[in-house]
Amino acid sequence: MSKHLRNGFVFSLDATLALIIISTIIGIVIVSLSYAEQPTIEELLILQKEHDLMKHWLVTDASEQEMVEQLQELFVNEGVRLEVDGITIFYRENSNSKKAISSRLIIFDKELNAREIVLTVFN
Amino acid sequence: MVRIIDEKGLMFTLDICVAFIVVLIITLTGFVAAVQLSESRAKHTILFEQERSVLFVDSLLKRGFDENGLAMVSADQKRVLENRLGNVNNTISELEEILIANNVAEVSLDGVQLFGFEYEKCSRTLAVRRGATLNGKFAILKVRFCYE
Repeated sequence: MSKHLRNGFVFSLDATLALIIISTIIGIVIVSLSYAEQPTIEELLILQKEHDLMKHWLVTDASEQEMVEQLQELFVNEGVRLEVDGITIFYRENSNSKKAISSRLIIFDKELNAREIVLTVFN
Repeated sequence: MVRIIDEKGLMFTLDICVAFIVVLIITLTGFVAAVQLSESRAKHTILFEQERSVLFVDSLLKRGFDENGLAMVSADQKRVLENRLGNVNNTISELEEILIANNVAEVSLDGVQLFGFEYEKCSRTLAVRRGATLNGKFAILKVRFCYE
């Protein structure tokens, strides 16, 4: 509470406490926001692993069955979804996931037919 | 409290109760800040180790054996074939010093150990798994790091 005293003011105890509480709350919000926006190294590793699979599929022209087997081999605990030309051919749910990291690849075969592969990992 | 003295200046006064509360809050804030700082430092150390490990394994897959990596080097195309492994057994033995210097405790390919020592003594270990192509087949490269 601020009281007028002629040309000055009194900075009272409750005003001091209120200011401290407000500044503390603002500080906590700013700190938590700055932490929330930081990407973690796990996301980078998942993205790298997705690209490893896609590079291999691109080189070997893998069949859908091979794709699923290799996918399960590399991502053991995570939830994953594999789509080929818009059709989901494999999906494993992860109920604890908070984020989804997805990669998309377009492969042209020998007849120049395009095949679109979308791999999503739920972490 | 701030009071005007003869309308010429200000005097900042604190009663004992306010002073005690302010000192208490400052002490608590300092204590919390010190705890947060130590936690943050430990967290950043672990994050740095994770980043370093992930990047090290990535460099192994991206660099050819002539540049301390494991990737195949194509003589025809005169370039490194990323994610396609060359003669790993020979390369690993040449890389031993570098692996030890970079805290690598174990390197295995599809479950077969190529390099390693007893990492049970390590207080913290971190394993990075990556996929690669070996002789046209999909293989999983696992590198375990030992910290302290």
